[in-house]
Amino acid sequence: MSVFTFVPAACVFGSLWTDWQRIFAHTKPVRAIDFMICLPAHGAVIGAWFGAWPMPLDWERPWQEWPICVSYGAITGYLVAMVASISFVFVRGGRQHVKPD
Amino acid sequence: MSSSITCSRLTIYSIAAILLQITGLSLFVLGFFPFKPPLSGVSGPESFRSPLCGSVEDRNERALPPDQLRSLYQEISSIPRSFDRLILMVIDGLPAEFVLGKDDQPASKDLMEAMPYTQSLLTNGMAIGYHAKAAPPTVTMPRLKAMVSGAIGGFLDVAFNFNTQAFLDDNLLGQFLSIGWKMVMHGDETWLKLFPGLFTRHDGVSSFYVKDTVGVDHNVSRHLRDELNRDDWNILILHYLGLDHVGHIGGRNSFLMAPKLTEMDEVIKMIHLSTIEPQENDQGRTLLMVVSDHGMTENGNHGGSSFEETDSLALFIGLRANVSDYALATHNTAYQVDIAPTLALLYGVPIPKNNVGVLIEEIFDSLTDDQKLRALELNSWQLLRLLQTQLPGLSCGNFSCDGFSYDHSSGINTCSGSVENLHCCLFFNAAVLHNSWKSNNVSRSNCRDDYSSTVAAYYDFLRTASEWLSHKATDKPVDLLAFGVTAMLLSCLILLSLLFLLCKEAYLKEKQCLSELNTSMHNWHLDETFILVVIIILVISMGSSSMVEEEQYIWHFVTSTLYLVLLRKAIQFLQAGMVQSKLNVIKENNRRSYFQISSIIVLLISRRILRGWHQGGVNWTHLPDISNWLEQAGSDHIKSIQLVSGILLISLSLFALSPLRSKRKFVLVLGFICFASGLLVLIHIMKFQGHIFAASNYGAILMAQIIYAVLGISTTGTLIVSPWLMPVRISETCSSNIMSNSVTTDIQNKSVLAGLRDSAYVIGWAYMSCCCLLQLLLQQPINSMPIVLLFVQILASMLYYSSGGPHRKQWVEVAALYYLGMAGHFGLGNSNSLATIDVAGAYIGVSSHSTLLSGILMFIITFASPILALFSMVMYISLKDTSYLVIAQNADSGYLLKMMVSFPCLVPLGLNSILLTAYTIILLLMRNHLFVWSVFSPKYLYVCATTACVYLGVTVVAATGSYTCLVFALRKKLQRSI
Repeated sequence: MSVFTFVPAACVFGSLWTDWQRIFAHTKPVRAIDFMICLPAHGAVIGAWFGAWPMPLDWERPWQEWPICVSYGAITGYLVAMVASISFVFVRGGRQHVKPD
Repeated sequence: MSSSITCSRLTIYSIAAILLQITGLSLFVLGFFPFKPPLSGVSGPESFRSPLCGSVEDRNERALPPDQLRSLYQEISSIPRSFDRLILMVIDGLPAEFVLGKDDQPASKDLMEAMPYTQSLLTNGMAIGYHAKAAPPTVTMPRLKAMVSGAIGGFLDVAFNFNTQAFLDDNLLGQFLSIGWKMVMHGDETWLKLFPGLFTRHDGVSSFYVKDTVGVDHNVSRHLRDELNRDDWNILILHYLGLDHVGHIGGRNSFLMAPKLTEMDEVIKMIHLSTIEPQENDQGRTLLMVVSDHGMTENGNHGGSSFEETDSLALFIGLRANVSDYALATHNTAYQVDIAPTLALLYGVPIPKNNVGVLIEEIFDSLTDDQKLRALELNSWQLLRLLQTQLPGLSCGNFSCDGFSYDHSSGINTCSGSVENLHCCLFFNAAVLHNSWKSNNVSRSNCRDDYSSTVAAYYDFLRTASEWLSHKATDKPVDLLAFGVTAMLLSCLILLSLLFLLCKEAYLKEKQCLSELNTSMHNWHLDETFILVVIIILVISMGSSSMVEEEQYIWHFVTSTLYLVLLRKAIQFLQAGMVQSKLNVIKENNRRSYFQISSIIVLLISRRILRGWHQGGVNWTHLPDISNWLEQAGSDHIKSIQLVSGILLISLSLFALSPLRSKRKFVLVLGFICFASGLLVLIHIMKFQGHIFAASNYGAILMAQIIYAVLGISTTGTLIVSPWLMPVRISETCSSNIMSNSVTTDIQNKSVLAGLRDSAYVIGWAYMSCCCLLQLLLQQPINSMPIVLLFVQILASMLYYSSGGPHRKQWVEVAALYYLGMAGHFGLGNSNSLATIDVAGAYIGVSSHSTLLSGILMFIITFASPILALFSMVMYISLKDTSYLVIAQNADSGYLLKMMVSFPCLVPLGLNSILLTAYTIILLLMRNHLFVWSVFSPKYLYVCATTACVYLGVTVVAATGSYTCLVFALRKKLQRSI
């Protein structure tokens, strides 16, 4: 979990409080790298949140054990958001390219 | 458009909605939980004749005197009566596991050693034991009814368990009375309430004083020797309550359990040696039946439908046929309702009319084959009669009474098709086989084979019919249900539309007043959306049985997420402060945000601890949690934790009182009262709790009563006095000025508001701290820390709200408080099964048995957390900064009242009505679900109780608000007139 959210952000922003706040409290990414960190991080958190739902059901499947669903949820959310963020970056990048022309 | 509704109209509408809801709810409950589906009337001699032949009933037979009736029964039943006397020994709450073991394993060694005589009886084949599966709800009265009548009662019997009334349906004891037998009863007085005037001698003991484990049983056993020497009774009922009480106090593994079992064993030994052993002749034979009405969970509670609770015992001692094998004698299963037809046939009386049980085969082993088949036939006739009344279409048409003209081969067909056809066909199979056996029996050919196939066919029919009858969801009056649901939907809609109007009005007002503030509040915020999402999630999750069982996870999950969302929002505001310049206002803002963040973090941490305290739920209760760990650590640790939490609670509440600036003396008095009552509670805990035997003595009761009185008087005193004492500060200076000046009026309004808020704060504080102290006294020792945590949570959220300013919407905050209350409800170890209700606590400070008092205490214990959250609304009113709303308005007291009270009252009502209505509809949809009686119905009872709790809380909040407002309006008038 923290690999998906905390580590990339820490690598890029270091100890800059403003950036941390901008990304995680306001969800207002500006640069491309912001997108690459912000969206997957939120995706992982939300994915994990949804991943926790099947746990209390009494289907008695082996994958209903504690960390498994949540991890899968987090990974799925992360991947989806990663794709989304890449596409966002491309779209924005395209627009920025178009504008100067 | 007139967007504002006046206070009085709002009140009228909401009261109308509440009344509508209550009506709808009661109609639905009456319709859904069938009160009594049973047949009235008593089985008479006609039960020995086939139901299919319209034999003329002889009216005179019923009017026969007992002796003749007895011989008539004897004659037409053609089964010799096996016994003349019955000793029914009921051991309340004894799980069959304790005696017979579980899953082909014998009972654990120390339990076997605790009952040496019973075990030796089982080993020698003198006794045969059954795991008699009891139907939920596993509480005493419905189970006794099931045993004597063979019928499975309605679910609402639980509600009447504490208000027993005479049992009027056909039952064994009534049948015995009609043949002139004398009955004697010693033990639980439930029997006396069920059958008033039936017993020739009796000594009833109350089952409601749970802490007493010795006296209740001594009161039964002291009569035993005398009764055994007499011979003027035919039925002797002994109902021992001690074992159930031991379970309630200490659970299955209580150290009192083994001595109690030994005591029971001694009783069995005494009865066996004195009555059954000596009689070798065939006259006056006595049967000793040891039964239990229900089992118990690990914690010693009961009421639900788990194996541990439904596994009750039926032990027959003194049968003629001996069972040779120990395994055969112990590994049988039956249903609790099977006891009634078995006893009826053994004693030659008609089977009670509403019986759905099936006779237990092995008990009749001493009879001849012919007689056994006759017994089966009688039971089948009785069930067929019952089926005929439940299924009007069941006529089983082409059946001729005299002479069975079917030949053998056509009779045996595989049965399928509609319910009617299935039952008819199975019955015919059995009847045809029986007849062919009868004819064959004369010629004595291959009789063994025929016999066993006939028995199998009978059991086929009996089991199918019995299952169908007991599972049949009895006819539900559709119009009643529909009307109930519509009424609930309507009231829900009214409440929601009121809420919507209020929100709109508040929003308009805010826009009007705070137009200079930032415009971002017009957006739909994440937390507001989330509150709505939570409701949807809850409604959806209630449709799944496992989610209902494990509801605590949902509440914990959702509440934590909600507060994380709020935390994120608080951080956002902090950021807004940092970016801008270093104005003083911004610094102030930042300080506030830090304040908010820290209070939310405190709240989340305490939430997490509370979550870990009880595992809760049904499926994962065995996982370790803090309470288990503490219990293993020993009672000294628990006691010290209790002390610490008591001290913490007192200091916290004193701390909460400290920010009040005005009227120091009054505040000091209040603080002293709180301190004193806290000390009293602590002394009570130190002195009396933990010692099982000391808890029932006079001092403890007196002490608890004193505490109740002190808490009650101080709360009402605060409520009455504080609005009069709180100063209306500026008005003294103002009153000398010109009264008509609008500015002065404004200031005066504000000062009135300040006074109002102060007094509301004091009242809210008094409510909360008194409530907490009371809970500290009542709850189980292990729950004392969670109470403190709950208090901390609510205080933290109060801090958070008080520093919030006008940015947040009121309904969000009230809803968050409500969620906190519900999450805390499960945090205290409650679940949606009736088994987790703490019965022992409801007798603290109650000297004599009183259903009402104990019921109220039980309600207070179970719904501690929602009640606390709702009471905290009073304090919340005082903290919410609403002064800006008054500025533009010339506030009369009605407007003020509406502004203060409307949201804290309407939001819980609205939320609860959504949940109630949704769950009602879900219950209706799930009426054929397998778990409807074991999972969904108890949950519905909880939902109803929560509704009652919300009504209570809202009434208190509204009453407090209106009283305070009234007093201040009065004071204003008085000051003006001076």
